[in-house]
Amino acid sequence: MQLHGVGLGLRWALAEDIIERPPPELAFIEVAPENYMRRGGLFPASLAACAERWPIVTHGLTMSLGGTDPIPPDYLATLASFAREVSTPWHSDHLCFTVAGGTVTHELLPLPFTRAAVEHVAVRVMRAQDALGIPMAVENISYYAHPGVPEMDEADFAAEVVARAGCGLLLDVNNVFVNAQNHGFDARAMIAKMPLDRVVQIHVAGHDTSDPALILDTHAEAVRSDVYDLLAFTLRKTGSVPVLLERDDNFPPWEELCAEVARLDAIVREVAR
Amino acid sequence: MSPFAYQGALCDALFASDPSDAAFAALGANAERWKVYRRMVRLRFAASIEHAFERLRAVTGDDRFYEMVWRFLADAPPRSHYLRDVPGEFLQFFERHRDRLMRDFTLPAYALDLARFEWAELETAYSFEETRAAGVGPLAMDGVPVLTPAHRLIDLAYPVHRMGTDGHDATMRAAPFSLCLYRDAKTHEVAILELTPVTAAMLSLMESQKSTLTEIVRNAAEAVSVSVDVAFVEALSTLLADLLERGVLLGTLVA
Repeated sequence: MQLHGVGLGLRWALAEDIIERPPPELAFIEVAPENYMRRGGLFPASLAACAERWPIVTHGLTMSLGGTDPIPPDYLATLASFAREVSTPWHSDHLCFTVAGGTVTHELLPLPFTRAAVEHVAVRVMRAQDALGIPMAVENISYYAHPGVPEMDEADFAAEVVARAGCGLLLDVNNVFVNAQNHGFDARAMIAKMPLDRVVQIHVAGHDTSDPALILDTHAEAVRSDVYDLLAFTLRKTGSVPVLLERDDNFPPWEELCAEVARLDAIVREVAR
Repeated sequence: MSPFAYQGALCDALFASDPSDAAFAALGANAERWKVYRRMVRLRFAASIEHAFERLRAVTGDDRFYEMVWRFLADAPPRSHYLRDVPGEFLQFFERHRDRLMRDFTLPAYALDLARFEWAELETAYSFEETRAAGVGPLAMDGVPVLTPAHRLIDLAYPVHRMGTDGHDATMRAAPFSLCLYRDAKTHEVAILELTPVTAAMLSLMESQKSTLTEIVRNAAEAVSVSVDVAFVEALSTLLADLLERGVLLGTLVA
């Protein structure tokens, strides 16, 4: 299945509007499997209604690719089954750890940018890929602190993981922007250094700038102009790649969200011309 | 600290009741930035748990409620990959430490029942087990009855299911109730049935899928000392028809 254009994350608060009044530009739907796996009732009913109209792509939250706990086989088996049901072209999760010593933090916690971490993550991505039976992609996260002394920058870390694991990259341009602001580097230079030939999907979102000293990747604000510009910059380098608008909280009037989808779609089309 | 040893140290700092500044400093970089993760993690779990236990929170007030949540996170941090399971883990923690929590937070006697009821509502809404339609036939007295998987039976010592969302009910008196919560197959809404003792006994026996309907009726009647007379049989017929119409009872297991 070929994904293209602009997608939206299927959040419960948005489900009715997506199904009843979708923006005309909407081209695909992204779901976090953990919110739908092992769940009956309204959620799978909404997903089924969406799956009739749009391609579905899965984006996980708790595989803990950088964690040291084994990825639970039952979680992987359920995920594999779910991925088959929705015919996702790939499954993505984050370059982070979420689980340690059996505790599931439900937070995307940073990994050290080291060679040991590259090897560790890549092996786990390959194992997960084998278990799922579909390609995987890894997403760069927003990180607010780095543990210890990095041996490389974030772009090299991502590049080495995807090269070693043979997986795709889900490039979150908002995360690059947030990290650039918080850690004092140039976002465009970092994007340019990323393994852009491996990008299968792009994420954009809003962030919270209440504290200019540390901006937060909240997915609860409108996408900022700087991030739209960074997206256009990125797409000119990657070519046509599906773009997903992440909005997880503090939902605006539906028309405002539709306007964001339309603006993203215009950028995608402009770059494709 | 080794590259991966830090993961356990960060986890400890995120969940501990009162981690020291040294615990954050040991992680490297700016300690204040690691504390941002602690705030985010705790807010996410608090939001998930308060969403599930809206009425319990109204009863305890915010301060006591969040203190219970922080103690849960410190003593029994979440283990599930599914965020929606975390309130259920909080309830297990409450049940395991009932006496201590009731005493430390001066909770009303019905607090645990209220938490159990609120979680049962959510569990019913989330229920995902499926019954194969091909495996269920029309209801027959000599067959093994099948209930919808989207149901929960719960026994309460207090009628907390009749409470509103406006806080502590000082008039609440102990009164045992047996409930069947089930999810409507069309609307997906959760509905509640207050059960008579004999109906509660029958539904409980039906859950095990081991006995025929005839055996279940006889055993349930015996258990609650009800004689199976004409009036009982008429009431049973009405009850079974109602349960079938509601989709609580699906039919009889087909071998």
